[in-house]
Amino acid sequence: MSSSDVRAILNLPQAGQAGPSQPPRRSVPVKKPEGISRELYALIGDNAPSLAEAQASLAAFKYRERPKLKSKAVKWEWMRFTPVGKDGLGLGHWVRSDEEPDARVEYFGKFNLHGPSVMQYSQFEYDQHLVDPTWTSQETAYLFGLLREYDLRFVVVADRYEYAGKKRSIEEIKDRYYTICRRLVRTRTASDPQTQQQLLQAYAFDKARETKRKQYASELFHLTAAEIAEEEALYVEIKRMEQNERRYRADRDDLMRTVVGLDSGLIGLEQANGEGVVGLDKNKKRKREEEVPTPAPTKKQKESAAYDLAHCIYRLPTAPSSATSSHLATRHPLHVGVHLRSTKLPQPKPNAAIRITDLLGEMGVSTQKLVMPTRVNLEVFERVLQAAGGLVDMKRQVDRVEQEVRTLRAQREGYVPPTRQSRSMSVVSEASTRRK
Amino acid sequence: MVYNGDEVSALVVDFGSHTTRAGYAGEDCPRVVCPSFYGYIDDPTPAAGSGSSALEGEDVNMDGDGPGANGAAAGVGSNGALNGGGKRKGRKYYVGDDGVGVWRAGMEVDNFMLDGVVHDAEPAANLLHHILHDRLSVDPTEHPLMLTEPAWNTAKSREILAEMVFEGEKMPAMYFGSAGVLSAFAAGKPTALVLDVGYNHSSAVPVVDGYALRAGTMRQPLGGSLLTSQLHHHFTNPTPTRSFPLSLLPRQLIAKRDPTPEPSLQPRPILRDDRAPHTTASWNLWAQNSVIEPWKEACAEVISTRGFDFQTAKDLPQSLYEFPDGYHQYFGEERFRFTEMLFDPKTYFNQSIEPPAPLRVTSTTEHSHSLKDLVPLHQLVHDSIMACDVDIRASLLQNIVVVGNTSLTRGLTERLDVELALLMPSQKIKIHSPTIPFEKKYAPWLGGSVLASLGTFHQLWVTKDEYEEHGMSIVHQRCK
Ligand SMILES: Nc1ncnc2c1ncn2[C@@H]1O[C@H](COP(=O)(O)OP(=O)(O)OP(=O)(O)O)[C@@H](O)[C@H]1O
Ligand SMILES: [Mg+2]
Repeated sequence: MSSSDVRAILNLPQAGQAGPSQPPRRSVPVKKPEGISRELYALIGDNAPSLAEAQASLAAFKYRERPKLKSKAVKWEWMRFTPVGKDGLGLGHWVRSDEEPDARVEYFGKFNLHGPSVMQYSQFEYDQHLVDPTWTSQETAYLFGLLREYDLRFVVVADRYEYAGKKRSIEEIKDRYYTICRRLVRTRTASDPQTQQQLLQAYAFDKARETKRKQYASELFHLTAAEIAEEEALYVEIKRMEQNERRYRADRDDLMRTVVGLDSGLIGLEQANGEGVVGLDKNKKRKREEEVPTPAPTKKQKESAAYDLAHCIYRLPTAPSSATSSHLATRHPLHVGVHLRSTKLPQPKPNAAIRITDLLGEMGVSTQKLVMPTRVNLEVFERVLQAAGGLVDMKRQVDRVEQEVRTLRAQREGYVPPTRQSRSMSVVSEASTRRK
Repeated sequence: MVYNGDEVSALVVDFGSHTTRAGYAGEDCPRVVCPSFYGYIDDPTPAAGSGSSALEGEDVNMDGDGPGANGAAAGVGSNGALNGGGKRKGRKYYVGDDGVGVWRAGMEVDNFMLDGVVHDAEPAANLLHHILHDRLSVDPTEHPLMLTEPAWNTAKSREILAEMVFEGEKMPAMYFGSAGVLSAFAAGKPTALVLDVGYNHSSAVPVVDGYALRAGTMRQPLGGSLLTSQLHHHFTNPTPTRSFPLSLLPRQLIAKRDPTPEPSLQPRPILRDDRAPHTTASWNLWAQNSVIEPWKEACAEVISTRGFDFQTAKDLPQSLYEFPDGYHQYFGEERFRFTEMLFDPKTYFNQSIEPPAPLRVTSTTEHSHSLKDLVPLHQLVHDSIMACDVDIRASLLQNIVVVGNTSLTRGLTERLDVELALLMPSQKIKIHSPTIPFEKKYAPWLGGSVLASLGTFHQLWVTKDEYEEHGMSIVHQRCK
């Protein structure tokens, strides 16, 4: 009997087929799984899951092995106990039988401590040093009681504070407490002045400043979205400017290194910015613009001039700002380190150096060394050098022109046919003379 | 001792205006969650008692094990000290799951909570007795009890509860945990701003180092109860799209439902006419509210990004809901319109609808708003934070913990985030909202469960001896 027979008996429609018509028996031999009798298999058909199959798959399943515990299971006992410092409270808890019954109670008893210790004072000390017209001795005692109760949590103390229907602000409370602490530290004979000083510092409290700070801080909470947007924009601006300045500085350093061969001793930008990030805004830009024109000598400057004269101090004039130099140059004038003037002797032009030295030698002036390299001497020396240089230059020009004149004269007299080269040369030399 | 836990099998009970939660400390979920509403029948003469028993009892409370199984009806005489004497002699209380939920002839319904605090000792004691003896089946003299209290709890209510615990149940020790602090603990934070949007109230409590600050504590009667009363008005009056009022019949009064084939048609269920004449108005209101509440929980949502307006309301997704009497409808804009009240009470709270009486006791003070001047939830949070010291505001803003069952409304925390960011654009705000609904639903209970199972907490219990020696002063001193 197959499943379709059963369905036929029970007057059910055939599986997967509508209508009562008997389906053609498909004689595909279905393999009967093992462990199940033929009749049963015929009854349940091939789509029902077989228990035998399920059992087979279960048997194949490997369970995790039971852990082999060496120790025996620990026993726990319900024990009555009294927490540390709580006589008369009988509680119960589970305790491992191998545990010391009181260990846990004691362990938690250790936490039964209070927070930071609050200063204590005696009535004598109060009368001597701690009297304050705005506080009575009772109220001070009340305050110290609260501080002890809430372990110096000033926020909570100020919240719970209510003495004779009156509240006090955190600043008032802190001020009173720290003032008392400072006075006590000062009056009590200290074993070590250093620790005393440290304590005094630790208890320092500036009420006015604290109030001001809180006022500013609370203003921050009332910023509107527009103000925040502005602040943000300014912040971005600062960042941009900072970056620009850094780039300028790098460029400038590069330039100085290639041109002059020394580090421009610019004041570190980081340092300058560190102090001024907040203040750096439009104001600064404006200030910078103001700085550009050289300010007229003020009274102060005149005074300092007299001083300089008296002490032989000579200041280098600040270089007038030119349009091409960066704005930084005006702000931080090129800084030259301290040096001996003698090391800064002007060097003659290299191409004319030999002739200049010769010339000076003729006149008996040493080029190597000045006996007295004072400012005046140096300036004179520089002028001499310049004059000598000019002389040498002039001599060279004269020689060339004379040479040219000679050749031209020879041409006219017909000894030498004119060449293109010489003519062009003469044109050049003429142009150069004219330019001068 | 890895977690510094030391079980002393303490119990934790959290009395709420809507539900009371109770269980063992150290577990992560309360064992008992039952309504704080209770039923009572005055002066039950023997005749009336037996007469009504024919009517009661056949009704089946779907949530419970059936009436009688838990012995819900706590007799007056069963716990002596509190119930003996008084003008209510002869009043029979029905508390717990099978209290109000079961229809009884002539049974009135009331709530022992008022303004968030326990104000009626007798039914509260009955409920506690029911929880301890019938539900948890413990010997009260063996277990210390942690009770939660709102930050604005009164000395009177503390006295009632302490008397109930020590004298009524003879429990060895107790402690009052402030609900805000416990919710913060449940979220793992010693410093937090706890916004609890519950049944009668929404409240904001700043918690610093485990202490609730009184200065910043704010509350207002804007919660599930007010929402329900507005919805009640909406459902029991015809609307432009619905020509008939809804019956809001509870299943207790329906003999046979009439499933109408089409949505939005008026159903005609077969009523239990035998019950109608014996049903009290208070029970009826309670039952109708209990019909609305599941609707609210299933359908109501808060628009999370922008305000509600009628133009865009039509495009909002609709959802199908069926009431016990068989009425069903695709609900659209009303899913969003009423919850908008939480964030814009000026516009969406209709003052002309009679609000539930218990909400009217909250008056306007420095720390509370009355029904007349409700403020949006985000404003409540803002005011609470601004009342605190400047130095702690930032840490409060970054630890906003949202709890309470009405805060489970979809979209509420997201919307709160948006509104707070608009209100305080300069501040960094972080809302901590537990992802597990359990933690939100039972936050104060959970915090109590954590705290009461700590080994270091043993010191804080107020013992029976101490109470007998010092009276209430020791309670006020310890539970600060
Ligand atoms: N998933 C949900 N979505 C929306 N509202 C819900 C949800 N679950 C419960 N509520 C509503 O939450 C309210 C109950 O809140 P809750 O249990 O926090 O109050 P309570 O703690 O008993 O009272 P309270 O804190 O005001 O004293 C009920 O109005 C209920 O309808
Ligand atoms: Mg609550």
